[in-house]
Order: sequence, then structure tokens, then C-alpha cells
Amino acid sequence: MKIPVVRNILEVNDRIADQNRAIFESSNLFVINLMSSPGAGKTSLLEKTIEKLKDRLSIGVIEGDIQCSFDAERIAKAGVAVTQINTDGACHLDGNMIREAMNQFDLSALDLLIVENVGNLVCPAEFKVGENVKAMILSVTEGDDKPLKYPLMFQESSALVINKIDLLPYVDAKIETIRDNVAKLNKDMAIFEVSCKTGEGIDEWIAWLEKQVDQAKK
Amino acid sequence: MHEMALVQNIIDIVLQEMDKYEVEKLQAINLAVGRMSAAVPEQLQMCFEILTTDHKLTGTKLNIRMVPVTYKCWECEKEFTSAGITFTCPFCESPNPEIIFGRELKIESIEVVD
Ligand SMILES: Nc1nc2c(ncn2[C@@H]2O[C@H](COP(=O)(O)OP(=O)(O)O)[C@@H](O)[C@H]2O)c(=O)[nH]1
Ligand SMILES: [Mg+2]
Ligand SMILES: [Zn+2]
Repeated sequence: MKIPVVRNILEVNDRIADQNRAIFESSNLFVINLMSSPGAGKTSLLEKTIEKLKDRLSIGVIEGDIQCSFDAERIAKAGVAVTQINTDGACHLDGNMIREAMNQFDLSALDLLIVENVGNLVCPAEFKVGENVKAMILSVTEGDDKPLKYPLMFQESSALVINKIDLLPYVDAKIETIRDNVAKLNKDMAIFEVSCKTGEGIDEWIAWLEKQVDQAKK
Repeated sequence: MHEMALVQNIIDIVLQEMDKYEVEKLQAINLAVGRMSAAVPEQLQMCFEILTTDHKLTGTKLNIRMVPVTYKCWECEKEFTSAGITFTCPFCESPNPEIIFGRELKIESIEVVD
């Protein structure tokens, strides 16, 4: 005998993420979920972002990257509130982990909460954490075919930061190819070409981020 | 490898449903998994086997129906499916059709031993 069920496998996570969203909203807080493969430059972009914005916005960071626990120390050094999540080897952050971590902050005192997700282009795309937007980083050293290999991540994210453009002369990847491939998957994606090393292009990313925060506050 | 988390969720939901219908044993669980989702069917099977060792669900079959990606063209509004990803409408060749199915991660039904 067959019993129809029709339930979403991720229903519990979706529910928790929606609750997180409601809590963030009531604190008038903008939350961004930052994803990429390991080493693409999430922590580096965070450092740059904090440096540029910390005088204007009150920022908090949740560090979920399992690659190294030094990330939280790097962020603390940059001068903002940071909480490290122990993912126990998990390949992604989920709503529940964020629920625990977010309780460590005085949310109403923050304007912007940045979540550095676990370095992985696959799994985090399926798990909402309660963010306003998802953003991702692709470094030019990873190649320009990545959008076609990891379509879900590129479709779920509102913004793409193409990082390490200072290395373009040494790699085969072409910015144009990345842009073409992204356009096929997500024509509304905001794209920024940056180097966290030289600082090139960072201002455009900052301007976009600030605009998102302002819009959400209205 | 987030399949472990997915399978844990599947098991939780299925146990709830078994309680609801007062069922002790299941023959099969039927899933629908979109080809655009980030779940790998072989990994789901493997995780299911590991997580149901010495368990109420030991021996229950996990049937996975892979859902092809279905697109709808913005221009001519026709719908079509594709085994992989595609970027042009086969009818009018307009770019970037919208994905309407193919991302599901659903439990569709459970089967009780008669
Ligand atoms: N050349 C170059 N290296 C970078 C750039 N951004 C980050 N890196 C380096 O890439 C490595 C990984 O960066 P990190 O921010 O820790 O990556 P995460 O794992 O995504 O957080 C570090 O050694 C950084 O110094 C960049 O724009 N150019
Ligand atoms: Mg990092
Ligand atoms: Zn068409």
C-alpha cells in the first residue's frame, strides 16, 4: 500500500531559516551569506569590506569555514564582532547553526551581519540560513567553466565577486567567458571584478553592498 | 557531501509519517530528486544504508526518481525538458529559459508492507 507524503526534505531547515529571517528583520539587520570554494578569498574580501565599512556600519561576522580556525582571528583583528561556528566537519552551514551563533550578538546593535559559509560550491547552495542575499566568490585561478559545473550556486546567488584579477596574466581563465557563462544561468547577477590583494574593484562591491543594506533598512 | 544531512531529514520525516499512520515497517520510500538539485543519488543511497543499520528502517528500499530539468521559454512560453542544462529554447532559440522543475528534493510517498 502506497501512502502519499509529499514533504520537502529540507522543510525543517527552511522553517528555521525563515524564523531566523524574521528575527533579523525585527532587528532591522541585513544579512549576507558569502559562499565560495576553499581559498577563493572569502576571508580576504571580508577583511577589505570591514576595513571600508566599519566606520559607517556596525558589522558582525559569523565564521563557518572549517578550513582553518584562524579566520575568526583574522576577522577579530579587523575590529568587528565575530563568532566561530564549529561545523563538526559539515560541508555547509544550516539554519540551526546560525540560530545558535546569532544569539551571541546584540542583533539590534548591528547593521550588517556577514556569514562566511564553509568553502564548498555545492552543498551550501541548498541550505538557507535566513539571509537577505547570497553572494559568491569565484577566483580566476579556479577556471572560467565553474558556472556550468556548479549551476545551482550561481543561480542562487545575487552577486558574484570575481576575485584575484591580479593573477589574470598568469591563468587561462577569461573574465569574458565567466561573464558569458554566468549570463546563461542568472542574468540578474551583479558581477564585480576585484583583487583583494591590490584593492582593485573593491569600491564597486562596497557600493553595491551599502546600497543593499540601505534598501533593506527602508 | 551534504547527503548525510538530507538523509537524516528524510528519516526524521518518514518516522513521523509512520507514527501518524501507525505503521511499523516500510517496504519503500519514494523520493523525487531534481537533476538541478545538489544531491547525488548514489550518495543518498550510501548514507541511507549507513544511517539505517540496526534501525526501524533496515531493509527499507530507497527509490529515487530523478526529475529532469523542465524549462519554460520567456518568449514563446513553450515548456520543454532537458537531460542537462541548456541555455536556448529549442522552439524559438530565445536565450535563458526559466527553470520550472528540476530542483525538487521531496519525499513523494511511503510504501507499507501489505
Ligand atoms: N593573488 C591574490 N591572492 C589572493 C587574493 N585574495 C585572496 N588571496 C589569497 O588566497 C588565499 C585564500 O584566501 P582566503 O581569504 O583565506 O580564502 P577563503 O578560504 O575563501 O576564506 C590567501 O592566501 C589569500 O592571501 C587576490 O585577490 N589575489
Ligand atoms: Mg576563510
Ligand atoms: Zn521559445
